[in-house]
Amino acid sequence: MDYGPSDHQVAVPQRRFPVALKVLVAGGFGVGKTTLVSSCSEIMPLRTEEHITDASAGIDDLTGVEAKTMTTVVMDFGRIRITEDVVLYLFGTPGQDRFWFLWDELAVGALGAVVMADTRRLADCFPSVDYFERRGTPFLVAVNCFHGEQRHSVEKVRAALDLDPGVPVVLCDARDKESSKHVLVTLVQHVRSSRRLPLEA
Amino acid sequence: MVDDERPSGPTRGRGSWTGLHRSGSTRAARQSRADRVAALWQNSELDGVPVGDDTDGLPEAVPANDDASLVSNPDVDAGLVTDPDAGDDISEAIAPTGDAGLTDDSPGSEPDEIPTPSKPRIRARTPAAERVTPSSPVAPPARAAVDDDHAWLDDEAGPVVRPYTLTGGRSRPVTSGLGLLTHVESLFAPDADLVQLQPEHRSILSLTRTALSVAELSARLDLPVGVVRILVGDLLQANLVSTFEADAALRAPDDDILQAVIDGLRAL
Repeated sequence: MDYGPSDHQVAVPQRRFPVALKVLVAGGFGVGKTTLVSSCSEIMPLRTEEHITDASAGIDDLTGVEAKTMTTVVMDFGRIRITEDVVLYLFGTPGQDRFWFLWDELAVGALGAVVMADTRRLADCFPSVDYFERRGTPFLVAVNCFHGEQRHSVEKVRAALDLDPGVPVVLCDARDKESSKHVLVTLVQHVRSSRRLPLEA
Repeated sequence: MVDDERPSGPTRGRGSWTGLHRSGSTRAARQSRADRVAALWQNSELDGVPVGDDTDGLPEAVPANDDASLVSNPDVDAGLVTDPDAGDDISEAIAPTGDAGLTDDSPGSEPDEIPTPSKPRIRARTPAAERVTPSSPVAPPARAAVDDDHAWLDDEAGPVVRPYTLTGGRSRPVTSGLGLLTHVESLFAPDADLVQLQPEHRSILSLTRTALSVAELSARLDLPVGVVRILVGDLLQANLVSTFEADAALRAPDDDILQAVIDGLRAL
């Protein structure tokens, strides 16, 4: 692919530069996104400030606060160094619907996404599922079993979410490192296999 | 974008600040409300916030709405508080609303009762909008309550105002193309006039002796990503750093890398 000259110089790689892989962790409020990110990586809060744009007009009431055009959003940011050259970044997406306009930057180039679901509030993850389906970002649904409670079977969750057959649904305990690792491994495997399919077809 | 049309200079940052503070409110008015709602707010009893109160300086035409509109107060507040913990605290308040509006799914319901697929997902956005819109008139009281709890005098006070004093009020970098995962590396520049630089510039230079992503710089410096972009842009212009795209967006990772990730994760 050819790139036109940009307005700042981009160093031509002379040596091996790290590959940064981006995984998004999405889902509703309090579903365990932070817990998942922190259980398998070092975690730092990442602050971004965004302009209130058309994307949020009608959601944010700007009456009387016309001066306010910026909003600060905090998201979770985790990093897992896989090898010297490969680093996996985890971004916990902002939970509020109203910050969706942030997602586009997050989602560009994302390897894949984990949509966390709580079966008590399953509807909270609908928007995330819709979003990644629309974007064509590979994702899986991780059902966070709070306190080891498994209220519903994977099949029931899959049916309730109307997921494509290929989308993995896994049960997890976000507090548990092994369980969170399993979620990420399943995601990467899913990414790999979903790439192969179009080639075979 | 919006900010290009806005006046530059420090007012840019202050504009945001005063907006968040609801410039229409007088200090006295906010103070008086604080006394009445502080306890309610701290107990997260948002529904108890006196909505008829107009001391926030809103026009009289804005009526106190009925309780139906109250439910979305948490939504409106969530963004303004800019505090992730606060977001978590109110999540419980929002969840029941969402459930009721989206699925009629009671907490104890069986999955069989989860409505037929796809329909609720399509509907999902609509109730959310309806939920928020009528709240507009009543949002300010709760917002002012946050002010009165001196939310702006704690850790959150700095981040809103100070970053744009660091950038001289600029809200756009002189360069574009700095993504979250763009890596920054400082260049060897013995002749550089570092005296001109701000401490934050120097912090970036020292942190990027080995390449670091913009996101990580932001987290390490505890500065918003937008501010880091501006500061890195300054350094780029001064030829003190170079950047490169490590983002997999530009080169899709091949199977070897994916396998390495799988192995690496398992070995954690």
